[in-house]
Amino acid sequence: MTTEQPNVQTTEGQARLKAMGIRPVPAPDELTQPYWEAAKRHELHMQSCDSCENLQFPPEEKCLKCGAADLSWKQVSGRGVVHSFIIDHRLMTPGFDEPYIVAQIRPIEATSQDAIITTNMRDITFDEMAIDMPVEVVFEDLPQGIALPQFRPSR
Amino acid sequence: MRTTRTKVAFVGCGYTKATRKPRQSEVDYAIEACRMALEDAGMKPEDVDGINVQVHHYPPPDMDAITFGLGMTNVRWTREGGLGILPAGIAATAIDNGECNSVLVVKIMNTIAPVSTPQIDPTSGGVAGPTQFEVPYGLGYSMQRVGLMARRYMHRYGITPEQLAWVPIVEREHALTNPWAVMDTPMTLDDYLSARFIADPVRLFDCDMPVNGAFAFLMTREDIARGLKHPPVFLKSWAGAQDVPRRDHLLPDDDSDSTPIAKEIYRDAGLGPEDMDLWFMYDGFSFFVPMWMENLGLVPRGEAGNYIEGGDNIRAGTGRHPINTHGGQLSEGRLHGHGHVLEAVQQLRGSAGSRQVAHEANTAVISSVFPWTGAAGILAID
Repeated sequence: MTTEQPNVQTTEGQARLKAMGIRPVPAPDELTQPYWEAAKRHELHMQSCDSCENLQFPPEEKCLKCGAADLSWKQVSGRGVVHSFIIDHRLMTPGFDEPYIVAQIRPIEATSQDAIITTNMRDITFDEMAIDMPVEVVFEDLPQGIALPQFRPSR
Repeated sequence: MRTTRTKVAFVGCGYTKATRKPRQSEVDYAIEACRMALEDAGMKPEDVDGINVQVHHYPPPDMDAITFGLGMTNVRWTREGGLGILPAGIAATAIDNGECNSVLVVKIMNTIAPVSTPQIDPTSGGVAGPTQFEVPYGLGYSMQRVGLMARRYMHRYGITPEQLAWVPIVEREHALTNPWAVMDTPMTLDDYLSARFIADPVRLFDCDMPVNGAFAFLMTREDIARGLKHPPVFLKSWAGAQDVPRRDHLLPDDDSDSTPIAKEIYRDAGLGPEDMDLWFMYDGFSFFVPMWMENLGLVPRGEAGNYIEGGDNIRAGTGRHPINTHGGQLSEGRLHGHGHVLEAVQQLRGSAGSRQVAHEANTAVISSVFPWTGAAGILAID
């Protein structure tokens, strides 16, 4: 028996995908592999421009600031501050069934907004969330062999 | 080219009523709206040699079925895509270049397909490409991305929900006089504040709603426009990008008083923000209205919250510069900026009926889509 795959281009297909409850996981590619490999070692790495030293995330082929193509991966401390956040109540993404936080974190090493990272938040209530709050990275080891960087309040 | 050597005018407007459930095919919606625009202008389908059809999903409806159904027998120029003021600029350029004389621009909306969808592999859950850093965290929809930008914006300038509320409240008031609007009941401050959160700080009534329908406008050269039913409304200038950049959920660091798009449209029109009588601010989300007002230099940076509070400044009848007199997308329905263009044309030529503003209005500034990545333009009568 074959089960027809939901067509995610339709509203109906989106609803079916949600009902299937498959949690989305990153599918690393050539550009993003170094990031996910470092995450497996519970390290947070970002691209740094060899020319202007601008730190950027997510990875790109070129520097967002100066356009140079020579970029190196660099480990960052995993400490940062909350740039902005939402509390999602719509719960449309498969695998997300309770209200949850999506935050943007600005690493302390960031040279611009180009290095802001998206995350969920751990060990915090909705009421405690605040812009500029100091946070630190923790890693969530997923059964698919991926370690997903997450953030919590700095200890 | 962000303005034209030949003057190009809007000469016809066509609407189908926006509804939550579809009542006919996309092709039929497009034909109905285009036919109204032709009749409104007093032009025949065989006189129109250009058409631009915009939908938000793939595949688009059959262009030939639309032109054949309309009886357009002399089609020389066709395009797909562009939202709001942008396809007006593209059409004006084609007319200016002599590629065609007249263009129907039609936007079709359909609720069978969402506007943005996270691309998740239904077997593995895998997410490829740039959104692999977002969707695994449950970030995949426009309202969430806008929410991230909005909280930062409200934090930076101290804007409160009680101030912001006046955008959807006043727009609802305006929509009550618009027969095409999907929302037709009044809204109070309490209604706004007590509605459920979608993605805190985004509340239910901060979001436009998907609808079915089509909106069309007809553009042509000045010499043709002068002989038609309505006074021509000219496209003076426009600017913007069609691509939505990937970092559209990050509020830019730069908070200087006006954006490159604003500088371009005022320069090319030979006008300034102080000359803009009517303001049509894109409102797929209510937050976009104050952001666009500031980006276009209509109010000083950081002042939009105070400006909209209480609603008097933005309401038709009390405000010098009423915004979105048709109800905007928050109350008319998600027409991706085309409703704003049509209402600007109706107001400037004096055919807005019960919505017609009482004071003299000769110019309108229109914005389309996201405030730092969308488009803007200026319309004016002689």
